[in-house]
Order: sequence, then structure tokens, then C-alpha cells
Amino acid sequence: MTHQQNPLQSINDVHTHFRYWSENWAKIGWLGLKNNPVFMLKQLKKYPWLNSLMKANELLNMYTGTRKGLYKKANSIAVSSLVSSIVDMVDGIYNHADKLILHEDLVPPEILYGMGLQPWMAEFLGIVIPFLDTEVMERYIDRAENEGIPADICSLPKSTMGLALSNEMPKPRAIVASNMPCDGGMTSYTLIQKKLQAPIFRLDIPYNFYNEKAIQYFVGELRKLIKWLEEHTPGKMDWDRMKEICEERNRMVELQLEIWELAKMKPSPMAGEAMYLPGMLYGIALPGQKRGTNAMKKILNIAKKMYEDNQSAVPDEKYRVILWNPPTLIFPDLFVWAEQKYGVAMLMDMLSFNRHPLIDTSSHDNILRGLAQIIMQGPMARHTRGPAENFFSDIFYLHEAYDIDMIWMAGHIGCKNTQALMGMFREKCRDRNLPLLNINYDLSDSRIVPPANIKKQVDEFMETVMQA
Amino acid sequence: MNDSFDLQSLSKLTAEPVNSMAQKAQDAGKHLIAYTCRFLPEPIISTNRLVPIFLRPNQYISTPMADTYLSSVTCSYSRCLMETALDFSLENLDGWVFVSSCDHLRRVHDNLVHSIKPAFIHMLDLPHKQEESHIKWYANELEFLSKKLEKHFEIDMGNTSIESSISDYNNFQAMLRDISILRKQTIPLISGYHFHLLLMASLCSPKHLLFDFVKELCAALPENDRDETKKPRLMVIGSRIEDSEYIKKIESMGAYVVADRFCCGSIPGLNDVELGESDNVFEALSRHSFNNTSCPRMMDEFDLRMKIIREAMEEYKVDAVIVETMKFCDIWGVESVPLIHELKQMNIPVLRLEKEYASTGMGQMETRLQAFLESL
Repeated sequence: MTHQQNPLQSINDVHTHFRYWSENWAKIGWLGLKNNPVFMLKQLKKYPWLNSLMKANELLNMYTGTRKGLYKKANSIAVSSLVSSIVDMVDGIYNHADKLILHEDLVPPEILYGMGLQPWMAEFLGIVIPFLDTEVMERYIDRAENEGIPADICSLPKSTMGLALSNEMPKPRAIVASNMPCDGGMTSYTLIQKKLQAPIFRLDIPYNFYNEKAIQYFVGELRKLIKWLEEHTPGKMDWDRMKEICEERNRMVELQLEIWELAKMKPSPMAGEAMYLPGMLYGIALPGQKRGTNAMKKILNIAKKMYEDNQSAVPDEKYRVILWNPPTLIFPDLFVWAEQKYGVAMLMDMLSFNRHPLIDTSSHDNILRGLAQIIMQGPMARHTRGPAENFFSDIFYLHEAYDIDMIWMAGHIGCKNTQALMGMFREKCRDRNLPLLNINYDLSDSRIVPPANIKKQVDEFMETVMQA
Repeated sequence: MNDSFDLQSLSKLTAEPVNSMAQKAQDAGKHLIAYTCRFLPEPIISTNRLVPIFLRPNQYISTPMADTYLSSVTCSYSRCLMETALDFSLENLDGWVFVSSCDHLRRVHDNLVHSIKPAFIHMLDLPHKQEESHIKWYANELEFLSKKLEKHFEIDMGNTSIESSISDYNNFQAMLRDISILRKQTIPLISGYHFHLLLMASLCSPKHLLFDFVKELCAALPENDRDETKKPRLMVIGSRIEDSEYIKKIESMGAYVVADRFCCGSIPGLNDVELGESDNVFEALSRHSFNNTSCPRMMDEFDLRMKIIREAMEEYKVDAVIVETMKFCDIWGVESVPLIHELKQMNIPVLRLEKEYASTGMGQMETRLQAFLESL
């Protein structure tokens, strides 16, 4: 984790920081108290990654330390929301152990919520821990490689397999996975299931999913999943609850769409982590939660206020950027640094950018239909499955819609699926005269390319291509 | 096997991606349809004037042009394939049919569409599970492909034509099965190398032109001179082993490769297409695709794959197993871990070998094989 220099802050900024800092610690403390502090201390031995999660509040320093005013507040809300979600997820391991369902990251948990089950995203730790404690995740990567998993497999499934192999994955009642997002991720569940000895259901997403035949096919898969979960877990589908989850999701999405509209303005009143953290969290990991809607509403209000006051999120917005591929987990404050050094405003990223319809909740069939589209056509799911057109059409749409100056591709070496598109990507960008920075690095393993080297790649690009 | 039985002609047939027999068929008015995955049921691209050509671009060791597009972290089969296409060595193909078998091949398809723009190219959407709904889905895919082929090549792809193609295919499969079982004998009547050569030649040559040769081979083999030496009997499990020299190298170290559980191997791979009474022709072909392959890209089938391996080990009296993985292949890279674990639980000696698509680094492999065989 790298921290940027902390410039002088106003009294309001200090107050904002202290408020969210203390709130976050209160949530973490509550988790310990609620579950018996002695018990939780013992759990630190069973699940050493809890030590890393306890550092979650450091994200507040990382993401808001150098930011000011309303933009600082928006990022504080995003971090606070993440801390609350981490606390709730960990709490679920202890208080709903009999209903704990391990689900793959691109299989959103609405159905599990609708059935009264407790989701635990298998890749959650592999995503969050490198943000907080890069070296800790590398231990699990090594564990998987020592077991024989090839070093060239994506480090996210390697991390997840490493956790399972180290007996540090909470024991679930059942597992729900799919063929997303890539072959490495898909096949990792054979090993995870063997290790955890829990029943598994896997959803099959077709290659071409933008058609009625695919929607019907996948609705069939979802029906089989619900039936299977009713047979293998204590969960029972409650369609009223399901409807409420989907409607909450819709409310969150409507607010998010408003933020996106505002972000099209020049300069943009919102950028950075305040854009992508809630998007990742409530669009993919924990959709349908009131907390998500509230966080989005607060960020939208801030963006509106900033727009009305003609304020830009990044004080001196010089370059407008979209980030493609998942964010650089080993260098989570890349854009905090880039904002300061180059005036780069990151306005949209692959994982946030949904083209989902709102879910029609008028009938059970329509709910499943909406969910089928959301899962099949979700971010990353649609980019790594299906033809290359799925990958490129979003990028070039965003280029136009957000008046982007350049694309930053987080070129994770383990993502062979997207690496195999880089030749085409370069040619297509060249045709459009659109600068493309391909950051060579590994998503979760800082030993491959350390953050300092990422900075060097950005510097070279900004100096030579953008003439910054 | 006696080398005098025109074995050299088989080697020649496997030396080029598009061999002389394929050229001959094309000169006679046939259309060469390239494919890259065994999940594509051959009869659909053998119908009427179509000839299936399974692409084995193992002539390329370095792939500089392909690396520009696919990067150097995709599997070397994908890169060799792309390099061959970019090198204009596949210009005379009339069409390409891909299966959404793995990430790397899907991206080869995307890059071919972008760079080569073949006149006929199609991607079949293959499910990752094989329940009834998935079999029906794939049957629809095959039906759609047949209509597209019919229109593009102006040929008859009606049921009668496809059934005739199935019948020819089944006849050929039966001959290969007859030869395959000769490996079950205490001293195999055909070496693993020769059998592999035969399989590869039959995949990349027009079957109607190879038929008489294989028929004669069937008759000649039981009379064959055999090597009476007792050697360890090996099963080779893995992904794309399409260079017969690889099998030859293993056998040259003092072993018989009696069982081949890899993409282009015979376990499974030599089943007939069964035209059940209730099936339509596409459902029969779809069912056959799932029954005739055993690939870790299928999500729920690990236990079934293990069962196939256990049964084959018994049938072929296997002493030890070699698990081959191709560098950068995600699917086999992960699958090999639980697979080796289970084999070890069964007290079966296992050697894991990583290789590139083209057989390189044979010296290193030789040392490891030697040590492994000595330990048996």
C-alpha cells in the first residue's frame, strides 16, 4: 500500500476525516464485541486474513488523505460503505454459518438473498486483501503454486484456491459457481469444491447471450439453481423478499445512472474511487442493499452540488480517462497519485459500467428474466465471454460519451483472455487516434511488477505520448 | 509394427497442416473445412462435398506474428494456429468452424475475423454442462451451422445427406476401434506411436481417401511382427498431443503407450454416432459430441472423467500415468492438480510433464522420463 502526501486540510476536511475514521473503527469494534472479543481473538489465528481486514480503515487515509472538500467526502462515503460491507460479510460467517453460500464473484447474490441465505463471495478476500496487505495475499498465491497450480494462471483464482488449500476459507453449506469470467476461474472451482467438500451448482452462460434464446436458456439455469438450493440448503425462495431486493437494486442503479450523466460534464464533478468502489460493491458484490442505495444517493447529492457550484472533482482536470480491466489491486491508489501528478480524472471503469436493464418485478418470470440478463451481460462477464465485439463496443462507446482523452488498460498478465485482444486493441485505438496505455502488471502479486514500476510506465506514457 | 507397411505415407500426411490428400480432394471439387476442437462432430462437416481438416500447426516453434496479436501468454497451440494463418499457409482452406471450447481458441477466432477475414467462419456455442437442455441447445447450434453451410457452399445438408455422412463416419470409427484394441494385448500389436500417427492422419485427411489404407492396415496388423520385450504400460493423459514424435520419444525410453486420454486420443474418441429412434440427427450429433470427448472445460464432469480414466486403466492394464499439460493452458493447468491428487490416492505412479504444443525440449523430458521409468 502506498500513500500520497497529505497536503494541508481545512477544518471541514479534518472533521470529515475524523467523522468517517471514527465511524469505521466503531463498526470494526462492534464486530469484535458482538461476537465475543475472546472468540474473535482466537479467530485471528484460524483466519489470519482477519488481521488484514482490520486495516480496512487505512483505505480512508489512502483515498481521502490528499483530497479535499466535497470530493473528499464522497470518497469517504465510498470507503465507509466498503468497511460496513466487510464487517457485515465477516459477521455472516459467525451468525449465519448454517446458511453460508460460497458464490463466485460474477454470480450476483440476489437469489441467495431472496432465499434467506448468507452469501460469501469466494473471491472477496482475493480482491480486498491486496488493497490492504499485498504481501499477505502473495502467501496464498504461493500456496496454490506449491500445490501444482501453474504460475501463469490468473492470481485471483490462485489466491482463492490458496485460501481453500490453506483451510482458511469459511466452510460453506453449498457453492454456486459458473463458467465466468475465464477458464482459470471456472476450473478453480473443481479444486475448491474438492477441498471444501460442499455440494456445488454451476451456472452455464452461453457464448452469445444478447438474444432471446440465450435469455430463456439462462432463465432455465436459474430455475434449476433455485430448486437445487432448496434441496441442498435451508433456503426457501420468498418471492416478496426477492422482489424487494430487485427493486432496491433498481433504485440504486437509477441513482448511479444520474452520477454517470453528471460525470460526462467537463470538468467532471465526480471521479476516482467514489465512482468505482460503490459500483463494484453494490453493482456486483452486494446488490439490492439499502446501504448501497444510501451511499449512491449521498454521492449523487455531492456530485450535483459540485456541478451546481461549477466544481470539478479533480481540482485541475487535465485528462479524462477510463480504466479497462479490474482496478490495479496491488496499487489501489493509482488514481490518487495520477490525479495529483497529472490531473487525471478517472471517470469510468470496466467493472462499474453496466448496461443492465432495470429489473421488471411485475412477475416471478420477469424477475428471473431481468436477473438472467444482469448475470450474463454483467461487467467483465460480457467482456471476457462472447465475441471480442463485446469488449470493444463498451470502450469505444465510453470514449465518445465521456469525451475521453486516453484509455488506461490494466493489463493483468494473468488475464490471457484480454491479453489475447491487445493486438486488436492497439490497432483499433490507432484507427481512432485514441492513446492507449497498457499497464503491464499482475493483479494481485506485486512481486511481478511493483507499484513503483507501474508509476514508471505511467510516467513514460504521459511524457512521451501525452506530452504531459 | 513392420515399417514396410507404408508407414512413411502416414508421416507425410501429418507433416503439413493441409496435406496432399486434402489438396487432392479439393482439386476434385471438395470444400476443406478447418476445425480445431473434437467437440465438433465430424459428420456435419463431412456431409456432401465438405471435408473436415483438423488443424495441427505443429510445424511452428516460434510465433512472432501471432504473439503480436495474442500475446505470449496464450497457449502455443493458439499461437501456432494464428502464426500459420498469418503466414498464408492456410489460404486454401474453404472455411473455418470453431467451438467455444476455451478462452484461447475463442480469441484466435476473434483475431482471425479481425485480421484474415475468412469467407466462411463460424463459432459454435458449446455449453459447459451436458444435461438434456444443454444437449438440445448444442443440437440447435449444429442445425444452425448446417443451414449456414448449406447456403454458403450451395450443398444439400438435408437429413439424408447427414445420415449418410454419419454412416461413413461410423464405418471409419469401427476400423479405428479394431486397431485400437490391439493395444490391450499383453504385448501390444501396435505401438502407441504408430497408433497416434494413424489417428492424426485420419483427422487431417479426407477419410474417403484414407479408407482403403486403414482397411488393409486392419487386416495386416494381427500378422504383424512384434517386439516381445516386456515394458511398462503407460497411459498418457492431457490436452493437445498432436505430434506423434512425442509419443515416440516416450516409447523410445522403454515403455508402451497403450492408452491415450487426450484431446485427439481414442479414450473416448472412437465412439459411433448413435441415431436413436427419437433423436433428430442434430440431437444425435450433439449427444455424440459430449460422449466422444472428455475435456475439463466441462464443469460438472470431473468424477466422470476420473471414471473414464479408471476404467481405461483397467482395460488397457496400465502400470503408470503421464499427465501432460500444455504451458499456458488454464483448463488443464488447474485440472491436473486434483487429477494427480486422485491418481496418487489410488497408488498409481504419475509423472507430470509440461510442454509446448510443438515438441520442443525433448532432452529435458528424456531425463525426467528415464528417472520415472526407472522408479516403476
